[in-house]
Amino acid sequence: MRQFAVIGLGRFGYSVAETLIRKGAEVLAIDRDEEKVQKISDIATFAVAMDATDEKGLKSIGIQNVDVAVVSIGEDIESSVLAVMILKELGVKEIVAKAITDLHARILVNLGVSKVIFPEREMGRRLANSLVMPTVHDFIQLSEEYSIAEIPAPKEFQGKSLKEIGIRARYNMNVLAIRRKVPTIEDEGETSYREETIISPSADDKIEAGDVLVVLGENRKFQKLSKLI
Amino acid sequence: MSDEKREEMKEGEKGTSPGSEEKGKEIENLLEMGKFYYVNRKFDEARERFEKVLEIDPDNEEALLNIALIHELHNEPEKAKEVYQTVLKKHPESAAAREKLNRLSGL
Repeated sequence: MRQFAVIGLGRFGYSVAETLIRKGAEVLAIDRDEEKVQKISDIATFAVAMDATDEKGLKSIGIQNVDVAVVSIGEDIESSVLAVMILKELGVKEIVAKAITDLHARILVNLGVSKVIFPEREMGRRLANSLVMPTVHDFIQLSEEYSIAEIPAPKEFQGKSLKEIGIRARYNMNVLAIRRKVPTIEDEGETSYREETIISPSADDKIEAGDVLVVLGENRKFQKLSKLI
Repeated sequence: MSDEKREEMKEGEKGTSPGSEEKGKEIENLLEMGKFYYVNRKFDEARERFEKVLEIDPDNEEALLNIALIHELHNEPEKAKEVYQTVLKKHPESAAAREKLNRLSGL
């Protein structure tokens, strides 16, 4: 598992760190606010209260050894830029940074970050997509024409194999994965479920009730498919 | 679960108009059968058992939680939320309903 550093533990940074930790990653969490550090210290591999523009401090905690650093200092552009610059100088290979303006983003790109993100724009896009297609769980636009979407399998697909459904022939879409909820029962008799993902399913894989399909296809076809749900 | 135990529970299901002493036992049997069907992905049969529990005891928390869970498994989060809200109205202390409702609401 790759090692990550998350610098800036505001709402966005905290959420990134928490999700990475939940997925089993080792996370070094940094913020200058001790309260925020305290909040994440129970779950993070290592949490430290420090100024992200303190080069010596960052070096002393071994930030140069992480695989990916996420700089989620949005509001303070100067600190964000300085932190990225220091991380680059220390040799961090992959840096993902949050930007709040286009100019901020351009500076980050010029500094050599791998990816710039605008969380609010991304959320806005996702919200709009979910309003247009409420049955689509998640939507990643790959180009003007193509996207990857998570769509609950329509009832008419249940019990049929992918070959029988003919998604590729009917909708010109490829099923990349099937997300399935597997019912479980705990020792105490409490019912629950766990999620499993069938990556690159075969044509003979059958769709079960409650499956979510991760499909790649043309944007206009998603609307057609989502009408079946 | 052994075949013997299942047979016992099926026998328990057959009982009609039980006395107050037997109600608890019947509910227990129905819940066990419901869970058995649930874990074997026979959701219609499971739901039927949980609804029977509610006919006997309309406030039964476990039956309601399981019905909500079946909605979740069928990608019906709005219906699941409604049921969790019902549980919280009837059982404001239900930590399971609160936690699941929060999760479905993105909190």
